[in-house]
Amino acid sequence: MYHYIEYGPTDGPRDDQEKYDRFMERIEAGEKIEADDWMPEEYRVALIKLISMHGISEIMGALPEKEWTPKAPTMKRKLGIMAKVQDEMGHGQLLLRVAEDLMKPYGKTRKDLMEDLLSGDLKFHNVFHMPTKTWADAGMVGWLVDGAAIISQTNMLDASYGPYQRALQRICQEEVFHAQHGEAIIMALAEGTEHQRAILQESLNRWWPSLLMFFGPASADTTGSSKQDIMIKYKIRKSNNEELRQAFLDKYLPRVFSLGLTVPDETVHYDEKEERWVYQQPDWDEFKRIIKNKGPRSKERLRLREVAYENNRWVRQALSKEAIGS
Amino acid sequence: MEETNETSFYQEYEVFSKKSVKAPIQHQFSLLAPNEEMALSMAMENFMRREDVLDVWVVKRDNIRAMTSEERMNWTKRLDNKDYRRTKGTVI
Ligand SMILES: [Fe+2]
Ligand SMILES: [Fe+2]
Repeated sequence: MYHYIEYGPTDGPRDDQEKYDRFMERIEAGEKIEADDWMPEEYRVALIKLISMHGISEIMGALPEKEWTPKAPTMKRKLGIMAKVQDEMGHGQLLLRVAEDLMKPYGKTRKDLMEDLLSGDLKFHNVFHMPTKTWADAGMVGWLVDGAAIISQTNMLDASYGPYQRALQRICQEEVFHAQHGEAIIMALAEGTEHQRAILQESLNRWWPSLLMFFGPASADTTGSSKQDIMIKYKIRKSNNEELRQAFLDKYLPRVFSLGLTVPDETVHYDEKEERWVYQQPDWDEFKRIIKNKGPRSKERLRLREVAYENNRWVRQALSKEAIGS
Repeated sequence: MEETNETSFYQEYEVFSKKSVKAPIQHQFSLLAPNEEMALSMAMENFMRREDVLDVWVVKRDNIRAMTSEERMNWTKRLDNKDYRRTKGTVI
């Protein structure tokens, strides 16, 4: 459906100034770029990185989530978790398609994405490297991790890249179900026994640093590289990492406190004059280690993906064109 | 030959669906599947988990002749000279 041959990648934005200017004009005018439109290589590369990481994170997030299905306390909750797992796999498939179309000029396919994931070249979100311990974690992940995802994804609902922006419309609608399901689990625990309230607080304490890390460091100084400026320049997203983190704190900290919960940082407060939440920085070196697949559950989660990939290899072979002869 | 086998498993399909009797068929998204039957069942899984649906089409992407980027650029810009097609200002 899309035609790449005439409009393959170029060596950089400057080699084709006229095309580049036209491209920027379209973006500034709010037009959407389609897969076969000319685009600067910097834009293509940034999109591939962002969208393949987003897509694979949806799938890597579904893996720990599905472990809750047998353990969820009621049939209704089991069904809720199952629906969420299915949604996340669906999100992953949508996003991988968007990334794959962008990778075409490089001759790369889904197989490369899976192999890049297993080799560590393709990273997945820091939160999905973390262990889950109690049922409160299932609620916390839905409420605050999906909540954080909603903040960062709705920020890109008007992204300049058409296929990504269209995928996000669908994804964001469904994320709301996840956040509501998580919230319902949290509410039940918050109104429950002393033990239930205790596991809730313990869960929040554990997830707090990961939630702060979710939006990435405020600037490249912290971790050595950051794509946020390119993302904003090309109107892929509107806000920078810190603005997103502030929006998250703004939305959720009042809710956390109103449930009688605390966060494991005594310095947390809202600075009226600066109009921002003050908080202690998480350990960004730890963040770097985590996303390099050195987090507490990185290896196990990758192993799950690898096992699924290997176990289903016979299906891919049996249904291939060569085997069927079509 | 394992490598070749696996790559051809992934064929590109475009998915279209119809929401109600009065609605036209609408493009949804694309997916990868080894054949039409699997494309259809994956379309149901991927796109029709919650919404109403009356019909689904899957079309191999190669079989769609879409406009190229250049054609879209050149052919879809309307010149401001089509009034006569709209009977705007026609005295009856
Ligand atoms: Fe998702
Ligand atoms: Fe989700």
